[in-house]
Amino acid sequence: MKQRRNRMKTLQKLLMMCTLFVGMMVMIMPQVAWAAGTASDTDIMNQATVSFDVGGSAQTPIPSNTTTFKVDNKVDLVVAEVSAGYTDVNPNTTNQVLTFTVQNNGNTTQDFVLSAAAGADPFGGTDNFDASNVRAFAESGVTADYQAGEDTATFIDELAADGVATAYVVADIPLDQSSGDIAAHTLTATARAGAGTGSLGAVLVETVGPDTAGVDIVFADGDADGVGAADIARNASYFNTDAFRVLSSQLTIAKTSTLIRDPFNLINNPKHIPGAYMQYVVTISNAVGAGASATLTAITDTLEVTNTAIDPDLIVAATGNPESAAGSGFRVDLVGTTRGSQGTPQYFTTTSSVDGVDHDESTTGGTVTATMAAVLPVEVIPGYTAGELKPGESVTLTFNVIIQ
Amino acid sequence: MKIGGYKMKRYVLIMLAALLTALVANSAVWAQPKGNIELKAVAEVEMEVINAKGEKELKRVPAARVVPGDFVIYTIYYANVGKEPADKVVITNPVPEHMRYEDGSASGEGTRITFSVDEGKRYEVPANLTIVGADGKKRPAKVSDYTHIRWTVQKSLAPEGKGRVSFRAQLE
Repeated sequence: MKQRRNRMKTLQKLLMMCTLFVGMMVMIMPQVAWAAGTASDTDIMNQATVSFDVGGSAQTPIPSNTTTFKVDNKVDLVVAEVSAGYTDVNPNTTNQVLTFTVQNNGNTTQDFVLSAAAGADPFGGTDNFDASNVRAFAESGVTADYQAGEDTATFIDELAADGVATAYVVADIPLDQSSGDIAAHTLTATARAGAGTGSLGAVLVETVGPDTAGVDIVFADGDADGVGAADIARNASYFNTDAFRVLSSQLTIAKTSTLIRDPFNLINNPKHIPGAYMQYVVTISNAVGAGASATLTAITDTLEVTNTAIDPDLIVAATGNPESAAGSGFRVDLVGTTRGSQGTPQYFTTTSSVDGVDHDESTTGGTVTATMAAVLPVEVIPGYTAGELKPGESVTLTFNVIIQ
Repeated sequence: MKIGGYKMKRYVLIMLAALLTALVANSAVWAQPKGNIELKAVAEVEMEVINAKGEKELKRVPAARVVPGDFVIYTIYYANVGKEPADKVVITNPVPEHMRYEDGSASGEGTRITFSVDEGKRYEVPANLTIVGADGKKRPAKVSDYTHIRWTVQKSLAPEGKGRVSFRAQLE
């Protein structure tokens, strides 16, 4: 009896070790999460046992038959939009990205083929244009976020049960869109058979009619739009919608000219006579309500060829003396910015140099060129890129010409 | 990561299921033990069908097309095929692997129904079932902890006497 008990204990220990080992293996192996459920092709067996006495003595317990059924392929998926809001874009840009996730809620590894289409604004606004060159791609996993060179597959390959993959709608934004324009696009994922790494599996067809001995296919996905016909429940497809919102700068350019002094009347009602000074003021503004900064590259102004010559000194009307140092014929003022030069005029020479604003040194006429990357340089603090003019900011270029 | 408690029991269950599979495989070769009681297990699912009156009704069909989340109804028919009465008739059914017992679903006329949360070592009515959690503290057992169901037939089963017991479980 004692021996038997000992043997039982050894057996129990062995069983414990085995179960521990199996337990550890299960922990090491990829998680079989309950959300997607028991994997398809699993056999579910059941067997009951009866014990009883006859005539006061216990009989050998009798097992029942074993019932077995195979777990079928439950096809279920959800597509979710990631940003929970508009994706802001600028006009005339390519490869703009809307990001989605596709989750395999079924119990089988599947491929998911991706497609993109125009949709309705999910964020309460009004869709009023369609982006162009709209495509759908799966994240390759090499580098996070969309990479044009890497994320080129049009289907999610071999997504395991409970797995989540990232997918993108990639599109170009036309040049003529203005701030506030909205383009909504959908990403639709459709489950396909898992066909091994790198190849898109066959279209899944739901098993109709009687159960088969093999793994049947049961579509269990929901209706993505609830009511509309864009998606229906149990079709192995699901979609979600995200939207591009255009943010653009709203630039205005103004040029004024004022006669400020002539050699005889001086500042008292000066006339257009040779030797008179005309002041030009060129102002570029980005509207307060603009959606984005503008990046200015250059301002060019061609002077009238025969009758004008650049004033190299930017004279002050009242005195006729240079406003700044002699030879500093251009003044730049910034308004509404947090740039360091805000409120402080900057002067540039009229010689053909590289200081930022130049005249081509023609005797008469000629071209004025302001190189904006130099006039509005990078300022890491408070944060400006070269040539950047933020909403609500303006830049003014002032210079004089002398009437010949 | 739970070593004790429910998870651990699953692994034991896996082991037992493996042993059971081996037994079942053997039973095809060895004749099933003959006795006074015949036991027949049936697994069914309820399917919505439209009847002749055009109404929706639930029809039981053999469990074949089953996906996670579906409920399966297990029925065990028992009959005394011997010449003598059988006493202390006790039918035991482990909750099948990957299945979760549905609370309150076990039934069996003239039987006392108890459950085990420890692979059949101890059977109790639900109110008395406890389990030791991961924190080492005892807590009332949940239906998901159930490992076995047991029906104790209250009266002696006369020759040709028969009955059935059943339960429902959900595929995880």
